[in-house]
Amino acid sequence: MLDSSAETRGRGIGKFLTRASHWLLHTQEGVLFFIVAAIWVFLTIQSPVFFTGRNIGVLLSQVSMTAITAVGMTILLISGEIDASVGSMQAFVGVIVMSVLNSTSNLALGIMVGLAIGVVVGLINSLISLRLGINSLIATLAMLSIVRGAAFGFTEASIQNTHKIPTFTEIGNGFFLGVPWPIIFFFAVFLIFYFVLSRTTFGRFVHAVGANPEAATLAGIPVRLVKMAGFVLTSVLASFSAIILLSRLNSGQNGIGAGFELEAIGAVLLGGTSLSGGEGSMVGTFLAVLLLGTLKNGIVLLDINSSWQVAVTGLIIIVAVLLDARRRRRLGQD
Amino acid sequence: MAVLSKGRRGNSGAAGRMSRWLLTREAGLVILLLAVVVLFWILEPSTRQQRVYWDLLREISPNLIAAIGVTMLMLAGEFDLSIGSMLAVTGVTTVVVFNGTDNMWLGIIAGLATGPIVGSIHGYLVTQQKMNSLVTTLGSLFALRGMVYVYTNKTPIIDENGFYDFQDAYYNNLGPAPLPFVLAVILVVLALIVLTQTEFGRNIYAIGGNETAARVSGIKVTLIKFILFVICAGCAAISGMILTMQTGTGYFDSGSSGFELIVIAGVVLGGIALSGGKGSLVGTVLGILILGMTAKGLRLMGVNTNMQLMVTGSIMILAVFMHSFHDRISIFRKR
Repeated sequence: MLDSSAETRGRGIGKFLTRASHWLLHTQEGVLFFIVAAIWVFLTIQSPVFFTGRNIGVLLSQVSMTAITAVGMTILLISGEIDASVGSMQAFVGVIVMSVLNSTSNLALGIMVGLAIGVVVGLINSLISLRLGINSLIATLAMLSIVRGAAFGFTEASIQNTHKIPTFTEIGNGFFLGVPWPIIFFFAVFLIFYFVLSRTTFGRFVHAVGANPEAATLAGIPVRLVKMAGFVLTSVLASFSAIILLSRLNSGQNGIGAGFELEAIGAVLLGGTSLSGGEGSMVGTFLAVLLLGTLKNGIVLLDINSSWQVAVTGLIIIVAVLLDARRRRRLGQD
Repeated sequence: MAVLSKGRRGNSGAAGRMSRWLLTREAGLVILLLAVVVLFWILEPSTRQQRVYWDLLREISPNLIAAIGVTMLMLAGEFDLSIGSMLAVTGVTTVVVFNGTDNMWLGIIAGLATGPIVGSIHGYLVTQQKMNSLVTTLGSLFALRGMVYVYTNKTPIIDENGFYDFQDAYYNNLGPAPLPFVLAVILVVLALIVLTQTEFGRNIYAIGGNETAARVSGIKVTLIKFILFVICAGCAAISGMILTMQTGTGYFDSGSSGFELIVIAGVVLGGIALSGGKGSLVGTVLGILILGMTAKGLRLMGVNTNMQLMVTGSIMILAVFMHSFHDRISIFRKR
């Protein structure tokens, strides 16, 4: 879309419009954008509070954890693998990091330990899936149980904040130039990996590996290494989400994050990333996360019974997949 | 696999058949199950009573029944993740109709009817609208659970009539065997006959093996898949009914702590390939029994519920690794 500036001005605008209308009408991203925009307009009309800086800040902060994990998950799914253990990671990383902070009062060390857990679990996931040849959905479902069990094994109760490091609380609740830190992390992670996926050799490798592993191997792409990078990246970003969540909750809870994996994977699939790999979109993931967050926010603002949150999340997933399926058939892709 | 071994008449006789059987998936699972039983027999004295095993069979009947549907669906290459939420839908519907009509049979019929209804919706969306079944049923996992939350306002629905016949059905026995388990066995045998002895069953394997080839050779793929979605949700509804009998309440959070994951874990442990077309219902039954026995044994040993998760997870990895190892060996043997 950006390279239309290379054209002469008149033709450039025409081309831009053609592309924009194609994007809106013929892609999953366009469908999502349309739904999100419609809901935002609706909520702005219905509630005076919705379109205020404060509320948008709350909305985006709340989705930042799911979003950061979903960014890694998008890359992993495109490479043809999946990680169901990210929900349990929220608990495990949380309890470990909080107890490290409590005992050492060293912020950098705590965060390093948290991210290191991500690396280790990511390596274990890739070892089981790639070396032992076990389907990654099953491997990481097993890891979901194991990591959750480890969190409970580590502590029977939640670990309270006794270190009182003010900077740590800032991670999830502070502001930078008026913007909440979680949003800055979220956008930074998103932009970095949007760039990595669409503009780098690694990004092209990820697509190639997911679309056809045999062809990728023959083309000399280190398939296992690329997939391993995907596993580690997803796990590390899940740990990063866990640290933000920990800072927001201010206590390490061993039961937190149940169902988080469904939300993250659901958002990625809703964003148009294919389960079978090779195809996917970071922008789609972004819009899907935004859609799910907006719905939750709207339900609270309109004072609707909060039980609807769960039902509406499910219905929206079904509707989005339905629209995507119809679009594919119309274009004769399926 | 059975077809292959029938064709190979080389080493006939009981010994030959025995040695061939020992190389099958099911044999590996039987050995694993025996190992688990023996391990707990040694570690935990309370598992030496016969009663423990009858209790176990009673408790895992819902898992077993739900696993039948999931197995048939996965053999055709499709998924249903919503079975956990189905338990709550069935339970709440049943007890609401109990209270509304004061009629036990109407409640049971209404509760069981939720299965085919939800199953038809899944079947329609997947076969007619060409939606991916994993994502679709992930959506209905949330949608169904959410609707139950909204309807019940997150309060359990108590059976005001206190239908004792209904609740007794869970705790009663037929001879030494618990009634729910008898039902599970009947359903397993029926499904086994359908899968191995009928054209419908062979078609399921054909679809899972190669859908395009199945379609080209005239198999009604759409219709069969639709029926399988109905069967799967129907089985989940029966499981939900059994759980409702156990408590006598329509509980909004029934099955919310990962019922679908435990059942799918058992199915995969039993050797059903995620890509469809491969595996047997016997494997599924063994897989569910292994997971159930492990959980029960650990519980009796007083192990923290969540440490049980770790062990279950490890067993899953071990078993799936065993399957892939077995696949590699059988490829080697064919050469």
